Amino acid sequence: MKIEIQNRPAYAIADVHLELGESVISEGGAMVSMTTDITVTTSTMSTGGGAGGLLKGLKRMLTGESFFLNKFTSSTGGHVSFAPTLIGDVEHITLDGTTNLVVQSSSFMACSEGLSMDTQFGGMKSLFAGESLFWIQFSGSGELLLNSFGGIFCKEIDGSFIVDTGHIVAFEDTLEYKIKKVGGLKATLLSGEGLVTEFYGKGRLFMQTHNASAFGGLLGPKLPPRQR
Amino acid sequence: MKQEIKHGPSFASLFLDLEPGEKIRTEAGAMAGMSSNMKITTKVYGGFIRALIRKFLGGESVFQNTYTPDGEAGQLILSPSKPGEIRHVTLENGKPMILQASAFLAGSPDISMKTAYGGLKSMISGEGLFLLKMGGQGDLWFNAYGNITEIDVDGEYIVDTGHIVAFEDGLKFKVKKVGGLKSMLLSGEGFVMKFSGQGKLYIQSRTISSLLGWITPMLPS
Repeated sequence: MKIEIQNRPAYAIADVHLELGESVISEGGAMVSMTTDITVTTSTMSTGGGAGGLLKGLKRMLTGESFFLNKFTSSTGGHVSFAPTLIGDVEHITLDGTTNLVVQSSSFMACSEGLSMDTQFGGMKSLFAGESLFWIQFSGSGELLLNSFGGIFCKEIDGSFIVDTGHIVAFEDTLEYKIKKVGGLKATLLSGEGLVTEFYGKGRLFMQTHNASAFGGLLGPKLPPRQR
Repeated sequence: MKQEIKHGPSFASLFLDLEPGEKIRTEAGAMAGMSSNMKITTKVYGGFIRALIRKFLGGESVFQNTYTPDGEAGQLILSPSKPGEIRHVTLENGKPMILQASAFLAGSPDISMKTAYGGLKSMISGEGLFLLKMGGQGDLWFNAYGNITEIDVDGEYIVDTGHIVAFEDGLKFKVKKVGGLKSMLLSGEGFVMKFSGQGKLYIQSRTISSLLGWITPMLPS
């Protein structure tokens, strides 16, 4: 598998070149174009085998990701390109089996077949942080494509660092985290920051420059009300 | 303090390295990440009533935050809510800068902020042209939706009200119709601002109101 990312960072699109018989798995709706040798199967698959495809599909739905995933398999060697929904960057991360990566659910775009994917509960406090309650944990070795709203940058943490939860794309599971108040009661209620995530330990944190819910919050009140 | 604007122009974010005791005032909700030793205080600036007016007319928040690292140096990463460029200017006493209200991102703690009306006409124009007058001495960072273009006005210049980001206070302006009644109704331009004098003007390449205008008819009814 060979991956090329073009038009970074604003309009990133990833071309995944597959060898004969190789497969790539993506989030529903991410495919832009592909060669004609590719066959697509849609299922609740759990990558990397394992039972409970349906259960995994249901859990994935809780994360706000799609229930179904698409698997693109090349019969002769070909390529598939994928693009995110929002404007922003795509990051290619290779997992070597030693460190697992925890991904904020809407940041997942595609991965190679060998990776295993599992849903993690972020804890009750993450609910109050106004962000997704669930994370997707990737383990095993293989390729992973993540997308962001805005640019992606990597923060090497050694010690501790605080982030606004909406700016988290992914982090290595060598990092521990807790959800905490940004400051005193007044700052927590009125600063517009509220609850934040504090990471500690040693590992990589991938952040996105922009927060999709903040942009949505800017546009939302100016749109006509949704009617039933 | 060390400042760097990264990921611009599309997704500009401001990375600040602050020494102990250094303070930065920011728009509420702008913090994307920070060192664990960063302390935050939340306050109303420029009077509560005026802050409320700013909030309702300009979309700017009532509260602002001040960050300072405790004990040792610390990093603060600030991101605007809309994708676009960030610019830095150094304010000098007696040379204030006018900002479109939602353009404020951050500044030195001592710079002053006053609400300034763009005139009744700009209210009617629906562009939310509500202006902030930033004075005093220190750093100021402002942001836009899209790219920022700097224009040196010497004489007269006309800008669509929705594209205004900031301008030096030395420039005078008038809000006016783009042409006759026909152009006014059919040109898609509505109100414009006519600047005169000498000074810098910053405009943005896109407007939120155009994005809203495009997306609204597509929403299900």
